[in-house]
Amino acid sequence: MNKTLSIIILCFLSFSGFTQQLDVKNLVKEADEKMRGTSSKSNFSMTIERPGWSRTVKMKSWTIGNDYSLMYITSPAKEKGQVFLKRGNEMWNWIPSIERMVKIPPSMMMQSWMGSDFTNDDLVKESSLVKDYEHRLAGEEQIQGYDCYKIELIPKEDAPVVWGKIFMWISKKEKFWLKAAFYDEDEYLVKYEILSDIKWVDDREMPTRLEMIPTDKKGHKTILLYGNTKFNIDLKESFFSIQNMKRIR
Amino acid sequence: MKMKRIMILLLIMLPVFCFSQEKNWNLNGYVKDLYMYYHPEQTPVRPILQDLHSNTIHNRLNFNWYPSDKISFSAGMRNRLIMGNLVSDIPNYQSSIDVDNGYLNLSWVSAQSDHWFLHTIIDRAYLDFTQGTWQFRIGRQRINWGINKVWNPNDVFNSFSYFDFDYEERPGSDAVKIQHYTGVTSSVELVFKMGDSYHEMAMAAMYRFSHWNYDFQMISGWVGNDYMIGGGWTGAIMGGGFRGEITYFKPLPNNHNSFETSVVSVSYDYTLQNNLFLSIEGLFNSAGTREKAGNTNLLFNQDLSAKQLSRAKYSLFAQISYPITPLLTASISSIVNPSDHSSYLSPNITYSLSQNMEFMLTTQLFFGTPGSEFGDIGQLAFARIRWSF
Repeated sequence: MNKTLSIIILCFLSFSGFTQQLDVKNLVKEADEKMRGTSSKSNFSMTIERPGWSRTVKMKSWTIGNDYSLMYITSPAKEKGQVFLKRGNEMWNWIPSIERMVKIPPSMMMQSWMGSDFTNDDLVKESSLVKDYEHRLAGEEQIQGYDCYKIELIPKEDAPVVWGKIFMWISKKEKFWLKAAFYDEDEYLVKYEILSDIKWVDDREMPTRLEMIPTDKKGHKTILLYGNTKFNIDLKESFFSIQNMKRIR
Repeated sequence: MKMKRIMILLLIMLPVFCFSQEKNWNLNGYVKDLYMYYHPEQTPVRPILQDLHSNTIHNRLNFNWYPSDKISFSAGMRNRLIMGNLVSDIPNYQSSIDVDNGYLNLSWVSAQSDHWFLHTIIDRAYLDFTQGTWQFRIGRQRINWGINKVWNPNDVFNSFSYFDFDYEERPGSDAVKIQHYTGVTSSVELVFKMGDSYHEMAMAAMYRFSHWNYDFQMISGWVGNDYMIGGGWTGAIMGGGFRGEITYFKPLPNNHNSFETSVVSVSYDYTLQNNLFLSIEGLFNSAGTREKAGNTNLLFNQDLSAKQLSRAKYSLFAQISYPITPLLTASISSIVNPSDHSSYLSPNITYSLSQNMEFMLTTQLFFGTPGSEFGDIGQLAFARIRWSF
C-alpha cells in the first residue's frame, strides 16, 4: 500500500516537474511571440546613444515568425534603400546604390548591426529563444511593478548562439517580457535589455521601448522603438524573395 | 545642346511634380568635397615632374518615380566641379573626364576656365516594367554581376578600377535587360548592351540559384570581341564568407585584336567577435605576365575590362578593418604583385561627423621598381567630406 502510494506520489511529482518545464518553455514562447506575432509589419527606429552623441536608424520590417524577415532602411540618407532579407538561416543584403546583392556569412551575424549594441542576429533573430535553449525557472522578482518569473536559458549544444546563458524576466499575468540579461561563456554579464513603455499596439498590449545596455561601458546604450505595427497579417513565404527585396520601398 | 538636355529632363519630371497626389517619387543623393594631392613617380606630362593637386565638388542626384506599381523610372546624374593644377597643367585631363563610353553621349562640360571645369554625366536613365515574375528594364542602367570586393571577372558589362574609390555607383550600360524570377532565390536574366560597333556591344545571360546555403551564378554570352562563359559563388566556410568568380574569354572567329584568357578571383572574409574584419582576395589572369606588369595609369585608365583586371598573372589583396568606435572606422588595404614585387598600400579612416555627414582620410601609396605594375604611379593622399540627403 505504502509502496503504491509512494509510486503515485513519485509519478505525480515527476509529472508536475514535467509540466513545470513545459510551462517555462511555453512562457518564453508566449512572451517572445507577443513581441512579434506570427507575422507582422512594423516601423522601427533605433538610436545608438554614446556619451556626447547619438545616431538614429529608421526602418520598416516584415516578418513571419523566426524564419522570414525583410528589413528596409528608410533613414539615414546614406543607407536609405538598403534591404536585409532573412530566410531560415540565410541572410542577404541588397545595396541599391551599387546594384549589389551581398550574402551575409555567419561570422557577420554576431557583428554589431550598423554600429549599435544589437548584433545582426538580435535583429533578425537567427537563433530562437524557444528552440535553441533549455529553460529553467530561476526565481521570482518584481520588475517595473510587475510580478515576474525569472527564467534561465542555457543554449543547447549545437545551437548557433554566442551566449553562455540568458536570464529573462517575464511578468506572470500579462506575459510581458520586461528584462533580459546576456552572459558570455565565462558567466560574465555582457549586456542587458530593458523593455518598457507598455502600450496598445494593434491588437495587444506590449512593451514598445527596448533598451540594450552593455555593462562595461558607461553611458552606452541602444534604444529600439516600435512605431506603427500590424500583427498577424496575411503574408506569404513567397513575399520574402530576392525579387521583392529589390522592389520593396 | 546643353539647354536642350536640361529641358528634356525637366519635361520628363514635370508631370511627376504636378500630378502626384501622394508622393510617388523621391530624390536623393549627396554632395562631396574631395581634395587630392598627387606625387607622381613619373610625370604624366613631360618634361616637368611636379606634384599635382585637385579639389572636386561632387554632387550626385538620384531620382526615382513610381507612376504605378508596375512601372518605375529612375535617373542618376553626376556633377563634378574639378579645379586645381591637375586641370590647368595637364592639357588632356578635361577631355579624359568628358567621356561617355555608352551608346548615347550623355556627358558634357557646361562651364570651364583654364583652372576648373564643370562636368556632368547622366549615368542612369531607365524605365522598369514588372509583370508578375517578369521584369523588363530599358535604358542606361548598372548591370552588376560581380561578387567579390576587388576583382570581378563576372562583371562583364561594366568593370571598374578598385582604385577609383570616389565612384562606387559606377557608370551605367545602355542596355535592355529581361529578367525572370524562377523562384524566391533564383532567376534568369538576358541582357543586350547597345554600342556604336560590335566591339562595344554585348549579349549575355545569367542563371542565378541557391543551393546548400550557397548562391551560384552561371553566365555566358558574347561581349565585344569575345565569347565568354563563366560562373561565380558565394557561401561560407567556418563562418567566414567564401566567394569566387571565374570567366573564360575566347575571341570571335577571325578577330585578331583579341586574345584568349581565363580570369579567376577568389576571396575569403571573416568577422571576429570584436568586429575586427579580415579579408583576403586573389586574382589569376592566364593572359597576364609574370614579368614587370607596368603601364597602369591612374589618371587615364579607360580601357579596364573584366578580361584584364590587371596586367599581372597573379595579384593578392588583403584588408583589415576595425570600428574603433561606431563613428570611427580604420582600415588598411594592400595589393601585392608577387611576380614583380610591386605593391599598393592604403590606410583609411572614416569618421561620422553627424547623422548625414562623413569625413574620410586616405592615402594610396604605390611602390615598386620602374616598369613594375605599381612602380611608376607614385603616392596620393585624399581628404573627403560627404553630406548625404
